[in-house]
Amino acid sequence: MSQTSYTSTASTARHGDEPLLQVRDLRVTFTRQGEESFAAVDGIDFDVRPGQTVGLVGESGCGKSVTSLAIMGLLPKRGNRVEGEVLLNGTDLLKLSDSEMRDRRGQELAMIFQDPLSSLNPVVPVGLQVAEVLERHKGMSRKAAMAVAREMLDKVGIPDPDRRLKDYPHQMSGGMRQRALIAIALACEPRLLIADEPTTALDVTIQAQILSLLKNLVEETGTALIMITHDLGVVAGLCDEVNVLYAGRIVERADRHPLFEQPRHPYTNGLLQSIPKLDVGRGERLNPIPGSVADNLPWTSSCAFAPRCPNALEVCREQTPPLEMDFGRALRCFNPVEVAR
Amino acid sequence: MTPSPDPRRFGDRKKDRIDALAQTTGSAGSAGRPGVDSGAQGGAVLTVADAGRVAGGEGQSLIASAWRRLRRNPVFLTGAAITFIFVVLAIVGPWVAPHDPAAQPLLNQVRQQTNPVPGAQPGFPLGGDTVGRDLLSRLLVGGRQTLIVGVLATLGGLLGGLTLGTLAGALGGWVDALVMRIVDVMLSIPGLILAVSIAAIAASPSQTTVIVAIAVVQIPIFARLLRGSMLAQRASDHVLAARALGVKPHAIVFRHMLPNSLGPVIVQATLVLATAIIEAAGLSFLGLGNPDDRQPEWGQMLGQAQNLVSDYPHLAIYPALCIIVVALGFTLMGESLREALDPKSRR
Amino acid sequence: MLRFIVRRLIQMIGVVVVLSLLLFMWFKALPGGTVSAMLGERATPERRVQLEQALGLDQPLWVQYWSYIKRIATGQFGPSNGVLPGRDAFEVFLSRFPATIELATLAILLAVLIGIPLGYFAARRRDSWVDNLSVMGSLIGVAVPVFFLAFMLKHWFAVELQWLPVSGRQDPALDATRVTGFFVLDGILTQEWDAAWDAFRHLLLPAFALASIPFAVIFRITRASVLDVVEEDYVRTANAKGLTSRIIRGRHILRNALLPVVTTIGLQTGALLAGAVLTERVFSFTGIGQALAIAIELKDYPVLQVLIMAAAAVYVVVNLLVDITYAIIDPRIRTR
Repeated sequence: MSQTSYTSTASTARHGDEPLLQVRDLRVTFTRQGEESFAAVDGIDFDVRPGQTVGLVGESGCGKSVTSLAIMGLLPKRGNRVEGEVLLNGTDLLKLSDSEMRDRRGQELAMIFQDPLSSLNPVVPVGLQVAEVLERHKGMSRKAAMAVAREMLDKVGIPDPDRRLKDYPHQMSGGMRQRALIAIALACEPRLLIADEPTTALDVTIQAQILSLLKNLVEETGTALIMITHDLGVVAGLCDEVNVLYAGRIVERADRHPLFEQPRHPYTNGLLQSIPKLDVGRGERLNPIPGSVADNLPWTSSCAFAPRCPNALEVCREQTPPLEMDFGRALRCFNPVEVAR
Repeated sequence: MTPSPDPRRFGDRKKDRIDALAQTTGSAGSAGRPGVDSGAQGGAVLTVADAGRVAGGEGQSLIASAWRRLRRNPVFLTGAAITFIFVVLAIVGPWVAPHDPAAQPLLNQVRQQTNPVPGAQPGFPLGGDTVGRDLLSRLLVGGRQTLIVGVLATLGGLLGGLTLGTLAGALGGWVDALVMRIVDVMLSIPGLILAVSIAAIAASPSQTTVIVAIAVVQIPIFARLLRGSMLAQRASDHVLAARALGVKPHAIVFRHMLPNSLGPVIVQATLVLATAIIEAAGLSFLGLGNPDDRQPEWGQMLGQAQNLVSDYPHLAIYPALCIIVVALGFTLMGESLREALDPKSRR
Repeated sequence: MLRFIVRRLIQMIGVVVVLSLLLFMWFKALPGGTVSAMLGERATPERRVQLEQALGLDQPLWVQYWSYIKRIATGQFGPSNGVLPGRDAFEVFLSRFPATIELATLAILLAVLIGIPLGYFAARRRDSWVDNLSVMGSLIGVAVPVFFLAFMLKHWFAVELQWLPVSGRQDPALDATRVTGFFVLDGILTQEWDAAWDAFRHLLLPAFALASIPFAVIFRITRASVLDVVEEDYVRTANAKGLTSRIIRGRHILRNALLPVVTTIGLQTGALLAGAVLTERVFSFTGIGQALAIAIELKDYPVLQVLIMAAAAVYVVVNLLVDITYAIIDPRIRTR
């Protein structure tokens, strides 16, 4: 596999040369009886370096969640086909058996999900839900594991952790639950944490707290973080490097600041333009991206975004734009937004 | 996401099952939108259609999409096939049967001690019964009475339950509370025992007694179903709109609400038919059925076979098989219908 | 939770009151009137007058109802004129109740021990041949009239193969000692092991027949519940944690999936009672089911009345117990 697609942007210099995770040409195709198969993830490549925070950004249905599930090996056994490579410290996770993956999940790589209430077992005390990861991967006794669990709950900022150990999920607030889930994920000190829209289901003020908590924790522990979100604000505050996804492929990748200051892909640009701004007059119209995902063309023969793109050229409907390096960022576009000089 | 999943959703408390079925009432379900994929594959939602866009294509009513799924469902098709054959048999039975079921052509072969049940012989493939009648013919014709008992009992229960349930649901207040209290009590007495107590009121057993008894047992089921359905709809938009437009109450009930309740009612009726047939057999077994057996009926044949079952089990096995197959047919149909109408069910 | 229990108790009382009203009206509706119903057709005119006065049939209805309630509360249901002639119908109930309890307990145990594991198994191997076969089996289990199943079991195992006894509760030749009325228990308590074993053997066939209905329901509910729970987010979390399949199955799947099954188990008593009427008849098993069957035949209305009331009362009480149990095992309700 040529290395040219996986650019070394400025942030990677900070995090060292050896990538922790290398995703190569990942494809996930969903098949359903009697219906056409659907490629949710259509050829994705990216790297994550130790301690780096990488964002996967896109609208619903762009494939970001499916990517994370594929990396973790959590896709259902039937109804889908996964191709490509996912190398964690050199080992291809996609080739591992279920029990081999089970050994790694929770210990080397961990994940937190969107809805904290439904992600916790309602009939098991929260303390045990933290302790069981330790019992499983570190071989701890119940007593020892509960002691560590208490420390974890404290570390994620849950007040009165001794009491909370015995509480059930429904007795905690949404923010507390998500903290508990973070505690669970980080209990065994994984090298990689994947967070799939961890704050979407929470109140705005709590969102900020949780994100700040995550940021501090990953800095402190040196854990790499993949942040999956549709919220650009979250990305701006947290990620070192950002991948923008559209229809199952990466269309732009750049470091945080360059991406926000100079978005080059028309889609990224459109996303940023569509955010309502406080300093614009009241009578001004909003700028949504026209059309919808249903208008997409197939990547195999064209640029999927072409029907909605203000920069579209004829070639965009006839050929697939490749992912190319351009001034320190990756870009998949025949006619990107001009760089203001 | 269900924050606190209702633990009662799967309680087989009769009440809860009926209430759950009531929730699938037509307008309470959502219209299908092409392009929105609600299949929950491993928890990841794969909506492709953008939230901002209203589907330009035709919306499909719940019943239409249910029918499409049913057409391909082998369970439903099997059940429907069995039901169809049964109904056809019930209608043409007397013409297809080789002998008159009331006639006793083999009577001269019956010997109390040595040969109480004539065996299979040419012209009588299944042999005869204790008074020399052709077993095969009785089976073929017996389906008709069984169907009649089942259908009438179910209809009776349906009409009674309809009245009670609609009244309770529409009037509300103390009427509702009283009716539902009675219904709950009736639901708490096991079906057969309730049927028995109703049948006991009659001076002497007959087929009508059986039909009435079973109908009464089914009334609370339909009453609760319809009441639940009515309640589910009272708060719905289409009823509010009708009221805002000044449509008269009885018109709202009959023209707007009842048609939407059709789905769950059909499901329940199919399932009830199956139980009605089985319970009728039980009542006959206990001696509460029609003592006159010139017109054969499967449950009655089964009940009468009990004396000789040790030596001549086939007398019981044949009618029992018929009952089982038919009950199974209705149950298969009913269950697949219920699954098809439940918007929450997945592949 | 205390408030919850109190509320349910009040509901229960309401149900019992309505039930007694219905029974009262039912009694009045019986052919020949209440007096004939209680005394049977062969009663002498003097006895009829006696009873009429005792019952106060000339009094207004609500007075009658009230005295009816008083009588019932003291266990006087009227003399049995068929099943146990001369004795009060309540005695019929008392003497036969333990038998049916033994039978029902074994039946439920069988249904649970087979139904739950099978339901879990079928759910985890959805659409496999095991799944399809067991679902079909459970549907057939409901479609087969229970007395027919009882017939067939009796015919094959008792008459043909002679592996198990044909009827009754125990071999009278054993002359077993009676302590509680629960024959198997009695045998264990008095250490008469052969008596206990014999009683158990008599229970097997009727229990299997009776178990067919609750089995079908328990199987289906377990299967549906497991199928549902497996899709839940917390199971996904458990997998994401890399927990072993065993832990996930026990702590995460089953602990949640079995909650609705618990309610089901309790509620199947209703179906069991109905089935017992038929099954006990087939096996001449002297429980309240058979008593009910005989009472129907002989038109013994007092006994019929007692048994109907008992059936509903048992169901209502079990209902309450199930709700309480559920409130205890589901922490969401317990810790409110």
